[in-house]
Formats: sequence, C-alpha cells, structure tokens
Amino acid sequence: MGCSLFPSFPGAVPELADLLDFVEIGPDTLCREVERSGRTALTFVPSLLGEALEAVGDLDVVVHGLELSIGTADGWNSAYVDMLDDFAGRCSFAWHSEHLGFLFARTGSGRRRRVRHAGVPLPMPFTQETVDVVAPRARALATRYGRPFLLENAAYYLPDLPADAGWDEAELLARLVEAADCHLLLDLFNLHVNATNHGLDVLDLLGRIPLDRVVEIHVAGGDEAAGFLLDSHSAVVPDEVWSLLRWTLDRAPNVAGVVYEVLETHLPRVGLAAVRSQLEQLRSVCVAAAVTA
Amino acid sequence: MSLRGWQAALVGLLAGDEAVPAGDDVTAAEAAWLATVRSTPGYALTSQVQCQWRAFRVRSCLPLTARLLGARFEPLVAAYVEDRGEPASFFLREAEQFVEHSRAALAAAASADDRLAHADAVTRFELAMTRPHAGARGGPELIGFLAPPGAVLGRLAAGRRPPPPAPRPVAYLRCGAGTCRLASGDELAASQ
Repeated sequence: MGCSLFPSFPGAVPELADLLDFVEIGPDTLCREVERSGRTALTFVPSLLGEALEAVGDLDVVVHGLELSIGTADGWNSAYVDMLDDFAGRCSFAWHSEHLGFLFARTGSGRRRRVRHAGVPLPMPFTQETVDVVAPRARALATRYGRPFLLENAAYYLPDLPADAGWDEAELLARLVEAADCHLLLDLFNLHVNATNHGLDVLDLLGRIPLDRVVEIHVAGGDEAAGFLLDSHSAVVPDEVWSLLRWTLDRAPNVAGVVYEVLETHLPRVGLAAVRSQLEQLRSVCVAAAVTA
Repeated sequence: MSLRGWQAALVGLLAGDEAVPAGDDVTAAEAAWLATVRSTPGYALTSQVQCQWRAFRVRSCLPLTARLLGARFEPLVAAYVEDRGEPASFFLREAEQFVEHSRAALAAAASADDRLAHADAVTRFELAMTRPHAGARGGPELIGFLAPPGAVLGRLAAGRRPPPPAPRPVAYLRCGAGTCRLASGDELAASQ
C-alpha cells in the first residue's frame, strides 16, 4: 500500500510511514526546467531531491511520471527520459508508470517546425494508430530500465473521441498492453470519472480491461463542477470507488500495490488525518481481498 | 486517422486558433469533430482546467507578487490567460509573459492603492531570482525599491502589507546567479 510523495510537505510521508509499504514519486516534480542550447532539460533541485529521498527512508519507491507525453505522435519528451535516466542512477524503483495521453504536439516542418504545448494532459483517440505510436515506446521503456512499465488510464472530458469501429477506452487499453507486453496502472477514480461524465457502464469497461495486467491501482476522490465529476484528486475516496476496488481486487491476480492519490496542492484541504484514515481503510479492503483470495 | 494532424489541431484549438485544419492533415471525420467539439461542455471544461494549470504556474513563480496584489491577482491572471491563448512550457516563461501583459494594469492599480507601487520591484525581484535556476542567461540586475527591500519582501513573505512607498527608490538590490544583496554606490554609478 502506498501514497504519493508530497515534495512541499516533506514531513507527510514519515508521519504516514507506519501505514505504507512504498511511496510513489513523480521525479519531474523534483525538477526544474532548464533551457540549454535551445533545448529543454529537466534537472533535479538538489534540496527537493534530498528531502524526497530522506522522507522515503527505507520504504520502497515506484515512479509515476506526468511529463513524458508518451502519446505525442512524432516523439515523446526526451528531456523526461534523460531525467529518468539520472533518477534511476540515484534511486532504485520497483516499477515505472506514465499517463496515457499527450501534452504537446509538433507542428510545421523544416525551419517552421515547432512544439506547441497544450498546457493540460489530453487523451488519445481509441485507434490502432494510438497503439502503433504508444506500444513500441512502452516496450522500449521496460527494456531501458529493466523494470515493469505501466500505462495509466486517464480521465478525459472531451466527448466522442475519435475511435476505430467498435473501439472504446477498454478496447484501446486491451490492445495496448497486448501489443506492448506492458502492464497497467488502473486508476479506478479516473474510470469512475469517465463513466460518470460520459454515461458509460463502469463495470462493463472494467470487465473488458485485462485485469491480469494490472500491477498498481489508484483510488482518489474529486470535486464536481459544471455538471462534471473532476479528476481533481482533492477529496476522500467515494463509496462507488471503494466498491470498484473490492470488485477489481477479487479479479486482478497480479496487483502489487494500491495508492490513495491526493494532489499536493489539495493536501492542506484534505488533511493528513483524513489521508491516514483513507490509508487505514485501504489496508482493510486489501487485507479482506487477500483473505478472500 | 492522422494522429499527428489531429493532435496539432486540438492543441491549436485550445490555444485559440480560429481555423480548423482541413485537407491532408486530418480526415473529414476529424475535421468535423474538431469543428463541433469546441461548442461542447467537455471542451469548455478542458479549457478551464488548462487555464487553472497556467494560473498555477504563474502563482508558483510569483508568490510575493500574488500576496502584494491580493484580490487583484486572480483577475489579472485570468485576463492574461484569456488574451494569450498559447501556453508556455516553462513556469518562468509563463510568469514573464504574465508580467509583461499586466504591466499597464499594475501601474493603473498603483494609483488606487499606493502599496501596489512596489509591484514593479517585487515582480522584477522574483523573476530575477528564478531566471538562473531555469538556465536563463543574463547578467546581474539592479532593482530599485521604494522602501527598504528587506521590509518590503519580509513583510510580504510574512503575509503582511509592505511599508508605504517613497516617490523614488530608496535602495537597490543587485540580483544575479540566484542570490541578491544591496547594491553598492559604485555599482549604482556604473549602471547609470
């Protein structure tokens, strides 16, 4: 069982350590962007990295990235990969995960070629072309670091995403893990958000995702706005997601970790006492599932 | 399906591009989707989340400016994001663009509340202290403060109002390479 690292609150993880088996680190959150010869690089802020490793102590580490942009059609963020190379030399981690989506696009050609940033993570279409772009990269990442690579299903608000005939999010995930021979970080709250916002049957989606590929699960809570449920990681886990967790744990034989996710900016609002309470509940659900199994 | 064309068009749409691409870049179905998606609530929410992330980046780079401006800060950031649709990749660049965009509004605000006359020095100080960490080039910068710099920055850091401004700078900070100190008389003379 794990939780996210909160770089701005270095005391949080040590305070929760008695409930944790591992900590999920977003190494890009310990970096600053630096421009070198017209290229972007991510370099570690020594104080942030030092505090992070000290906070983790003897707990295991898993990596959870945000900045890779694994789905950008003509090339991911190589600065992120360079940074992860550096991190791998400093800290051992059990597995590495990344959001399925893209953060930027390249436009133009030749001298007019440029990168345009979305400023927000965007979803991939449910198509074979997405599989063709992402699967080789997922495979390459697993090889590069010699550890399992996990793709995380993302929340999205855009309606009717382009899709090949008969494809949806579950079909895309199934095809991707098959083509890449990689694993899944199943974010049950994201799935709940998508089902709620787009009127989908969440158990139908879950039933078609290859649960034997799930190595890690995320649970979280969020706010509502403008008639949408938001993937804001700003609240305790809703009852529906606890039910999904129990359902999934009974059917996913290779789950090695479950994380309660709170966005760092919302930690003061949620409160450390509530995080502790959520982790205790998480442990009891996981223990009950293990006993049942 | 042309993933490259679709992604470029979607990013462009969120940046405020008026024209939806057609022709070889996207299929007819994708062009139709791009043309209709921006009138959907889901697109409006995606756009709103994008604005929130951009505002977060500006706030992260300019925490003392945000405290100085108080309730005026958020509307200024919102106006900046609205006018400048293209997000920057760097926190620093987003903050620099915000300061440039807001210069006239900040000057106007100072006429309503004299403490806001410190805004020019505070924004310059925060950007100057951030630039070296972001690999940006440039030599040391002399920044004139309308009250003792320690009092202005210290009070803002403590969440208090800064002292009243003098009509002209009373001291200069020399900021460079991620550090700052009071500028000497020789340094001031050399800069003029």
